Amino acid sequence: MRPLASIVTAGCARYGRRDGFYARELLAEALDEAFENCPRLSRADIDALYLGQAFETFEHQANTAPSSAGGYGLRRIPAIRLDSVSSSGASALRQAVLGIRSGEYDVAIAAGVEKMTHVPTSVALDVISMASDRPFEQWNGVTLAAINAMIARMYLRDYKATEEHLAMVAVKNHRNGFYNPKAHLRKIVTVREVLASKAVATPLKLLDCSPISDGASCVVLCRPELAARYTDSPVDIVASAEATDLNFVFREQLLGFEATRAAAAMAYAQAETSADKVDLFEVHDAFTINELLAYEDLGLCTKGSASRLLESSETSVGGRIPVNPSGGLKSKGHPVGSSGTGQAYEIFLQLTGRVEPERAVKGAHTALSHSMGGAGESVQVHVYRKRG
Amino acid sequence: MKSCRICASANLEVKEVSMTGAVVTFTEVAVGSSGYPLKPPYTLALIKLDEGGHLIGVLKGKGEKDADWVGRRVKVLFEVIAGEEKVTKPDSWPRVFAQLLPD
Repeated sequence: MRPLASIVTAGCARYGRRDGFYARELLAEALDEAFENCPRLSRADIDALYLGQAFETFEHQANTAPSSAGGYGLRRIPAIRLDSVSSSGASALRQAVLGIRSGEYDVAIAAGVEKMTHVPTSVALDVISMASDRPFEQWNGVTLAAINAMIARMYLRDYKATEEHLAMVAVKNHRNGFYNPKAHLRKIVTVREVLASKAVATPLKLLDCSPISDGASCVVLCRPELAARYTDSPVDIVASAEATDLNFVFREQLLGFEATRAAAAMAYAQAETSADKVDLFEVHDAFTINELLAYEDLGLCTKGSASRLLESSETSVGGRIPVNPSGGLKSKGHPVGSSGTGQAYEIFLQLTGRVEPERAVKGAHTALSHSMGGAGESVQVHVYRKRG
Repeated sequence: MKSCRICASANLEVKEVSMTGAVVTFTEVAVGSSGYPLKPPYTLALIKLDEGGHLIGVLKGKGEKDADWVGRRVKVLFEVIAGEEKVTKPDSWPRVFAQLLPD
């Protein structure tokens, strides 16, 4: 099967509270790493920049894509910003793949960025809640945490899972993020600590939620036949799929995300693979409940059995199918627009053997990223394969 | 409206609904956003209307007690919050509340 595009290098600015930086400076930090690690690539090779960023307004700044490109010596190339909220980076990745695949571009950057820790938390939450429907959700007191909390309550009730299971997702991902130098929350947490953290929207607690983070990340893509020009160890993208859904309140089926199931089915078909043949997953875990639902919607286990899969430790590093070895959004952090490209960055490092040994998925050949905007309104799934 | 905005069917009719339903799920919101006028804590409930369809609104009439509200009967209310009488579209919508009905 012919790959769609190939990743030749990647970069990531440290996630966290990055006071004193503009988004474009964080983006430059990520781009610096990508170029430094790929000496055969020069700025003149870049044909286009696709930038995922959800909320330019946090910085009172519009036009971030062209100003970021121009400000990094990428002159006169097309540079466009994409927004699908929490999956903006994955949208940028997919559009870059399509740009390469169309034949229009030889080399393109897919990047993501968000600068959001400098605004008061209640304002940040208000802006993030714009992901939900204005008249029927936001207007009536909904926050994104509240939607996921209502989903979590249904899940725990229907499938006899417990709040401890939600906490175990956080414990696992924090353990991975602890070893990730780019992660925002590099601390080990226990089930007891998660359960004791203050309520955000019951049954979700503070440590069930990903943090508000600043950060940026990028991958550089090229036509598969050109990859050898830039690196001896490219990672091929063998599937790129995207699906959308109605806003949460309008759905007939409230549990599980139809857009994930639809995008995953397309991605597995494109890659001629299935969940059991994927060696590692980076999934959307903005809230711990999201990771359990992702297990089921992506086909890692049957409906209602995610808590048992989690308990088995098979999704831990060292297990059969590690999920979120980066630490996930939960521990690595969730700079909204960067989370999608951050997953691709992690997978590029994993498949080329460049991650810290404590969280390395040994022998990984095929990986999948799953990014979600809002409460399942927009989902992108990509499948990656190590060359050779 | 010429067609359903959800399923695109052109077979539409106007029907009065009871605005009663039952709580499907709920959450006690402890951390709110600056954009909603009621300050937390408040209880948000997802209601399945008797005639079908869902609405989300703040639960009223629960007194001091916190309980499992799933399955409880409610009447859905559309209320204009004081000070918002003159809010114009796109934010002219009254806010949704769900009044708990006696067991």
